[in-house]
Amino acid sequence: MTDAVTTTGLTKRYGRRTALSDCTLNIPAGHVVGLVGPNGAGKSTLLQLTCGLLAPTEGRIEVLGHTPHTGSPRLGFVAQDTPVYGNLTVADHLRFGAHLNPGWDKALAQRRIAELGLDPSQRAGKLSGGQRAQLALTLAIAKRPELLLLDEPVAALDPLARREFLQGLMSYAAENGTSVVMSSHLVADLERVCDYLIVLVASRVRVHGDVDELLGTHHRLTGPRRDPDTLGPGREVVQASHTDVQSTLVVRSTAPVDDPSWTSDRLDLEDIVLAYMAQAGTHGRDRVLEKR
Amino acid sequence: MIEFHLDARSGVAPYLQLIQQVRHALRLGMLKEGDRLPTVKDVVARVAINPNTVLKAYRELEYEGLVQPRPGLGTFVTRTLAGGDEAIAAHEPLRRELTDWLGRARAAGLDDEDVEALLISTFREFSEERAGRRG
Amino acid sequence: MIWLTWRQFRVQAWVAAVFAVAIAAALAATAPHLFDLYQSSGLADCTSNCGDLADTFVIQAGTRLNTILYGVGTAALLLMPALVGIFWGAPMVARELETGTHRLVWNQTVSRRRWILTKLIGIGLTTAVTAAVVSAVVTWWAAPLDDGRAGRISPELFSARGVVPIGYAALGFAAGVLIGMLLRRSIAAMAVTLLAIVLVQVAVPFFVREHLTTPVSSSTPFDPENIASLGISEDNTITVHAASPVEDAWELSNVTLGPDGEEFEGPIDPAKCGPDAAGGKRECDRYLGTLNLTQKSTYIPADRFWSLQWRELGLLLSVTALLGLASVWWISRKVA
Repeated sequence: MTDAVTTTGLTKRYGRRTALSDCTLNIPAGHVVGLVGPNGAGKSTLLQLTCGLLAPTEGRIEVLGHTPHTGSPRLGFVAQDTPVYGNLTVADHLRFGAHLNPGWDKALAQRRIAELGLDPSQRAGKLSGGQRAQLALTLAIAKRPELLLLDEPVAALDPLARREFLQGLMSYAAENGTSVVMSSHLVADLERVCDYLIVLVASRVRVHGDVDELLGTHHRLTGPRRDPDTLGPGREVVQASHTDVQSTLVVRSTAPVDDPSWTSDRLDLEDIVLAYMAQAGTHGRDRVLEKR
Repeated sequence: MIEFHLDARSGVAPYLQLIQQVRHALRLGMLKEGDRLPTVKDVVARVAINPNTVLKAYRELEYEGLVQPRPGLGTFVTRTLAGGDEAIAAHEPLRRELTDWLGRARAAGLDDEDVEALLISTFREFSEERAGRRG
Repeated sequence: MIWLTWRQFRVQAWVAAVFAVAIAAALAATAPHLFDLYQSSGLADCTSNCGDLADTFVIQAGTRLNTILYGVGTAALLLMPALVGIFWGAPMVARELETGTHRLVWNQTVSRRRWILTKLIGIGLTTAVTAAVVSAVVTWWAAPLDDGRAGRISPELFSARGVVPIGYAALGFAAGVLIGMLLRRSIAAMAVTLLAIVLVQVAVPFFVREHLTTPVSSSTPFDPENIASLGISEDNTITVHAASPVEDAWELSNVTLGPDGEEFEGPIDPAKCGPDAAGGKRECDRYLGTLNLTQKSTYIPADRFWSLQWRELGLLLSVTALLGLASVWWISRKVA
């Protein structure tokens, strides 16, 4: 199976601001991928490079084996804030979807609109945030893409709408085996739905990989104060903090840590992401690089 | 048919929660041989989790010999954990003994949390001992 | 893509259609009376020295209603480029960029090039057809009055008659679209578009149009009978102009030359002309007649109207096409 997305040294600059630097990734197909990072980390930039809305400044990107371009029938994209045409009705949106997409699944679109209880004659500008997001998702999936990209789809939604949105997204992914990449600045939004994670902080990819693998290889070690370099090979210290008597380390290690002087704890996904954010330095959070 | 739910704060991985819920239902007789498990699509549409998580849980259950997928039809229960009539008959006297024990614990001044901690730690030690003896 | 373009544009299209039909209906209703008057006044068949006939006709036909219709028709054609540029062109792409809907529509199975081309051609053609219909009706209806007045070759009418309104309207639309996508803000784009179109509408008649044809030059001996204006200063310099040698032409220059071939500015004999002269106007005229002056004028005659119209339309449409190509290029390459 080809990778859904492959990037090599991918870099995007807006003038002198660097939104994404030297990103090298490969995302296998068939996953639901979470793209996490603080606001302004470059998530939107990476997604827009992936769907061809942006062109790279340097480096290469291949999506489903090809250089991405907008207007591709194989890609679905739900942009940040889920834009829809405010003065067009829900039915109008489905009609233009049908006109503009040769692979349009009319039955799927209509079933979803009915299940969501949306009034087809309602103007899209009058929909709630959750309904608008669902409409945008319907447009993106009814074209039956092989890869679905979603930029902060649930950020503006209340918890119920968030749940409903993710339910719809997951049942579509389950049914069709579509690869999904969705971004969020909150790990909690992604924790249950993603099986692959990319952590992006201050324009750089800090870690990426299968969620189970990440959970299995990251540990929090607590023990008497000592130099983290003595841990030995194959163990990467992600974060270290020390008091005068104690050291607390977050390490990535394929082998179990069996030194009895350390107490080893498991980390959840949020702990792991936070450790990588802390590693990147907090200054990265203040910079707003995303171009909206 | 059972319905799954997830506890986000339990710290237990979602796929393990699904497995536990199936085993629990099998043990209590809510699921019997020949019953169908919810489809992957139904589960993700209900609890909004990754489809691969459900697949992983079902694969694990299949590996344990509890369920069997039938292509195009769904995943079906092949074995029950309810241990037959004899085991169910044993439930009642055991429950009575446990109730007596709980009464004595309360009389000795233990509150709910103390009781729970004691139960869990004892249970864990007991399981580990048995596992050690077996291994 | 055509359906979406129509769905997004249909309200504006209806507004344009209603407006065009209203103008056409009002003009068609008043046309018979106007045309009758034109025939009966004799101006229609007049070939030379028609000035008095024309004046009479214009006064007779100058009812309140006709005056309003004449003004509205002309103003509509002069304002159309700005209106089209502001309300159709500028927001067309800018509004999508503002609301982010370009990210929605570009991720359907439609290339950006096809998206922008469909919109440009669809709405551009609507613009051209609207301008063509309104201009055809106004040009037809106003022909008698134009004949009686300055003539439609004159700069103030030329841009509102014939085929050039199509060019101006199309140019206004294309300029609005390009400005909108460069500025990415509807309101700012509307303001800049208005400015740009006014600039074009002033620059073309006064700086460009005369270069689209070769003006006619004529030199005739100065005839004091034809003096149109005369000014004498205290230092005995004079400015004197004779009336234009042809009727209905667009006069580019009209100067009175002295015997040396330079523009005649005096000095003159204060005893013949001026406040102290005893002989009055008649004596002054006779005196000016003896100075061997020449009237030199350059003008564009009225019969060049259509050839000039087509050339100007060609120029405007060429610029429109360039702006359109720039828009397509910008959308395909630059915007995200």
